[in-house]
Amino acid sequence: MAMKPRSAAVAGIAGALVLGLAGTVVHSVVTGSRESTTSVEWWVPDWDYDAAVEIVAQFESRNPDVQVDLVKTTGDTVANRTAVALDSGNVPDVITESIARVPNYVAKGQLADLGGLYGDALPAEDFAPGLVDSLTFDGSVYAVPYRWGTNALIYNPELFAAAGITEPPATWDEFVADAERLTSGDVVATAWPMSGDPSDLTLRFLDFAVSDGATIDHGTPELTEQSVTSALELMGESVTDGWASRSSFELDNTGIRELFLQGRIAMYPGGVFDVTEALAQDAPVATAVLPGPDGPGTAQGVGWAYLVPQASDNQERAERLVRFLAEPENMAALTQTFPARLSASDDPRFQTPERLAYTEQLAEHSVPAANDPAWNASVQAVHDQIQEVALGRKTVAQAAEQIMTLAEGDE
Amino acid sequence: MSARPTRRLLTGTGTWVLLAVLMTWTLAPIAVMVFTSFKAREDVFQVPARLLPSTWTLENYATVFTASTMPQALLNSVVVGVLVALATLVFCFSAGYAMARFRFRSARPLALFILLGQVVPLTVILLPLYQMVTAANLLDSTTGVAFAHLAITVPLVTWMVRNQVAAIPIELEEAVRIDGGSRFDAVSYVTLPVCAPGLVAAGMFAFLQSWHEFLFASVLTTSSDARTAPVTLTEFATEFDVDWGATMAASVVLTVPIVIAFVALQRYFVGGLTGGAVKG
Repeated sequence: MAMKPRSAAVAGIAGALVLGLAGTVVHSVVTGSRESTTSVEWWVPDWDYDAAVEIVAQFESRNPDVQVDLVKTTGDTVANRTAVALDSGNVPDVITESIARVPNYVAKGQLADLGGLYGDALPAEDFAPGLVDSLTFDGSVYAVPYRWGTNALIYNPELFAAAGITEPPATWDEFVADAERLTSGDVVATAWPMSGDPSDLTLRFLDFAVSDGATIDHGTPELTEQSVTSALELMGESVTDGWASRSSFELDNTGIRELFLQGRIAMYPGGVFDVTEALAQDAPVATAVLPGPDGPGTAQGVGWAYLVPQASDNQERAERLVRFLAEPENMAALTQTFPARLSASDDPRFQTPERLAYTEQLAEHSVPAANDPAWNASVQAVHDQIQEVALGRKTVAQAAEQIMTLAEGDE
Repeated sequence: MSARPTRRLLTGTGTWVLLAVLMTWTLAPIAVMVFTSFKAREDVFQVPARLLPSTWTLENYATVFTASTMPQALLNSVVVGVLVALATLVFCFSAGYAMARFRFRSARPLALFILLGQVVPLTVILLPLYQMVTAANLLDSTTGVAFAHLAITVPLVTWMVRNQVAAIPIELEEAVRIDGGSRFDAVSYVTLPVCAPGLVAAGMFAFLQSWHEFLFASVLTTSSDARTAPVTLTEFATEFDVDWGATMAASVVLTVPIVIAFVALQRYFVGGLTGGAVKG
């Protein structure tokens, strides 16, 4: 029986759509099935990508049997993508990942032991203090760190001079006294990143706590009531006291830096990238070691590392690539902060006057950052407690009690 | 006697004030986004904060179109969105029609089961979808992202279409069949034309869902050849820095096509979403 015209048209359109969709799927499947057993896939963050292209070209010329496929990740997507890839077993061969997330993957048995890479060519003692230890679990080392950095005190020497202050604060008492003198008119002494990623705020909180007796044992913070109280007084009460900006509630790291560049904020704990940016803009900037209760304060080192998934089909080639990337000059090329290897820091761009405070902070007053999964899970809650104090809705004692409970894992 | 006009005036004024507040609440973030996209870097963090730029600049748009992969990402988003809309309409019209017209064992449990897909959090189905897309060799392709997005659109659109079809009197289809037409003729000559506004709405709904979806696209794509626009927005945030001007400019670029499409098709969209809402 012949179809009616409109029915034929509908059948034709539907058929064409189905065929078109099926054709698209088949085309994608066919063109997507290019696999090479000689290629190593390296997931690299977009800020390292351009430098990585050059380094890979050198690696491939030295290793003609290996082709490296670079895959760009972004800071906002790398964690999710890495976690899903590792969970699924469909993995790249090398991943550039934050050291803070390594214990999560190790706990699931998803990473290859890279301990064999360390030795004469890659001495563990050439890395920043405690760094390799923090990546060692049950005798196996699951990552090769390549960039490392801490916060130090960034300050505006012109605003300091205008307030009659000749030296950066070396202790907390001096820090508070200077802050009160600096806060005047349009200028406020400091600000805290209460917007954006909660770990930006808790990193500073834990820096203060570690400076006053808290410890970080293999990634797990051991807080004391005294240390938590001190940190909350410095960060939370500074807002209610008026020497930390109330705009802290709306600021992330970028916002604080911009206010500093405008001369609205006189000092803040920040990374070396901010100093580079200030120098590029000819803004008045100087640096100092973070103040502590009675002398230099302690800062947590944070950074990135190379991982090789346990499920990688190309472990030998992947390790060869990681070994190459861990050579001092390659580490230096891929770093805007500091290379994880001390020998790589000889590069002149890590020796500028503004970086000396960071070098001292890293070498003498730093510990690897807390990266225990339980602590990572409580970061948002700790952030909220600091904010509650800054808002005046909780006392320091109430918030400290809550944070201690969180840290002990009772909630 | 004068109480009623006074009450009406007060009610009217109250309604308008409420609407004005709601509109301000809704549009304020969009205004901030648009004006920030025209601000120079030093203007973005100006103190005290100002809504309007002190100097207007197109620099952020230049960054978006010349120094990022956003143009390719927008094209990818369009490809994925169109694929999703077409596939959703093909699959969901068939399924929705069957659910509305055929009586079969387990029809109701099946319908409820399909709707379950709408209440499961996306993160729960992320891993299985990733494995399916990988097994199909569709990882890092626009087709793979479209395939994943169907998991979001199919359940709800099937229900939308089902209600649309159920609202059409069966007698209209029966009339075609009495005249010698087949069921397919009844669908072609009666059901589809009556459903057309609803199907346009369903297609647009599917396109919109795909256009702004982030989670699946961020995990399933690795190269700029397949990345969609929402994922590419994250390129403007580096490890230590967020380029808020470029981020806002990219957000405007991402939003404008959808606003235009919505304005052009809003008549169908509103009608299609509410069609079959009473009878179904």
